[in-house]
Amino acid sequence: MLKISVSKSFNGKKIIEKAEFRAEKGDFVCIVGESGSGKTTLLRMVAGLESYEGKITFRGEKIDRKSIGFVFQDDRLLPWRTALENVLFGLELRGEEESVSKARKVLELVGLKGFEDHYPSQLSGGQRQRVGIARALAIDPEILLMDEPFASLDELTREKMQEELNQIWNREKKTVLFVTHSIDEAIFLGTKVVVLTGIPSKVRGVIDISLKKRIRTSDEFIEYKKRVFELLSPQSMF
Amino acid sequence: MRLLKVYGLITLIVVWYLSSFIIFLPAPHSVALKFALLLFNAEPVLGKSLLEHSISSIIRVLSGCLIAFLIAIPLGIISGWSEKLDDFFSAIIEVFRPVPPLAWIPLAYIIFAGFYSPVQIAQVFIVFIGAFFPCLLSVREFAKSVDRGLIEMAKAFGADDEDILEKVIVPSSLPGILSGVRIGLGVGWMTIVAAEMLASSGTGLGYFIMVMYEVGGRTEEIITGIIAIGIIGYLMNEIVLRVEKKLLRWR
Repeated sequence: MLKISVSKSFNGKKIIEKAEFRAEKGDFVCIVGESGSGKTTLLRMVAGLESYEGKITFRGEKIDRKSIGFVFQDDRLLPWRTALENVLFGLELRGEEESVSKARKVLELVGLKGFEDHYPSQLSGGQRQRVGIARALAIDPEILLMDEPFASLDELTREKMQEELNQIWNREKKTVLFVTHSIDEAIFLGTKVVVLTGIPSKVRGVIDISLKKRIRTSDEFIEYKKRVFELLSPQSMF
Repeated sequence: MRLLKVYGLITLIVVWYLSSFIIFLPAPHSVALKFALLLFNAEPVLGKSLLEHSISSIIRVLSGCLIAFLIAIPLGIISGWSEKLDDFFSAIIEVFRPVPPLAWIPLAYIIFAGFYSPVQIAQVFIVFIGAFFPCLLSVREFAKSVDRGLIEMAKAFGADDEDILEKVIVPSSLPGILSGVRIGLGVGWMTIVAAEMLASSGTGLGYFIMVMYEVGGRTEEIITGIIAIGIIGYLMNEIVLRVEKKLLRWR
């Protein structure tokens, strides 16, 4: 289980006030909130890229950086490496043997078979993001952190990627923390939606999602959407 | 494009031809003949062929450049990476950078006077000075502009400083290293010709041109030397460009 209970100040100003939530193994936790609510900061804290006050524990212990896979909003691929070599990056750092076949397999999993030797400049935005996801999956992380990975993609590609991510997650059952500003995306992907609001931002509520079918226009989907909206803007009438 | 380049060359030769009637300048064909003759056959005054002179100049340039690159590349990467070290080195760099390498020539000949083959060592030193700064600045520029996002990505994947240097900063500075090598070689080449003119080094294209002038204004030989300098400079640049294209396929 991943337990988070953190605060963060920046230049003496509190920006996150005791944000608390937990994720069970295999949970897909989506963090939503307006921009500036510290969603990304929260993810960076879990990744150890940012200092914080409070506690973040995984199975009761401090998180080991090596158990984390990170997918960034901008793909952050190494432009001089091919798709395959980019996927190998994390594996190299772990000194894993026979990693090439593993990297190939993960690339296939994200639908990039045949693109192994393409450089990032030869790939589309969606394909680059897939490589980024493959790079994170390749190290077989216990926690997968995703920071608005589909934000820069066009609508159609984004929905397709969401479907695929959902399938991948169904297969791999990783614990995922997924930051997004899209409520739709959060409900579609998540098993839990954490709503951050306010200045300094706090966890306004956590909604457990259990959809019978992942259809964005279904009544249950819209019902969840209303609940998230209510948490995001408690004063408005819904 | 290709065709225009050919036209450009033809124009140059025509203008050269016409000028040779007016000013004291040998016609292109007589220079061409001289070039063909001297390329492999020894020129009587110095007893060496154009090829031999070229090779000695090239060896001096390559030695000076090699030493310069071996120091400038790591230094550039380090000072691009660490702001503190950059501050430390920047004053030194700023003082020496604007000094033309040629200004070092007299001092170099004096400093190295006591050494074994002082002229050669002084010349290699001057090439070193000429090649060092442009290479350092180019590498530093690229090392400084390494995408911080990539460094952070590497950290998120558990990279330590050494990994980041090896897997992010060095490859990301490679374009700077290659253009630094190219510019360094170019400046080094110009420097050696000038350095050779100022001391009796026995061989070298600069020395050859100077001697041809001193023994009585032998313009055909002088222009022959100039052409050789031009061709070699062009080839060196072209070779590094090819390497760049190959290594930077990802661009």
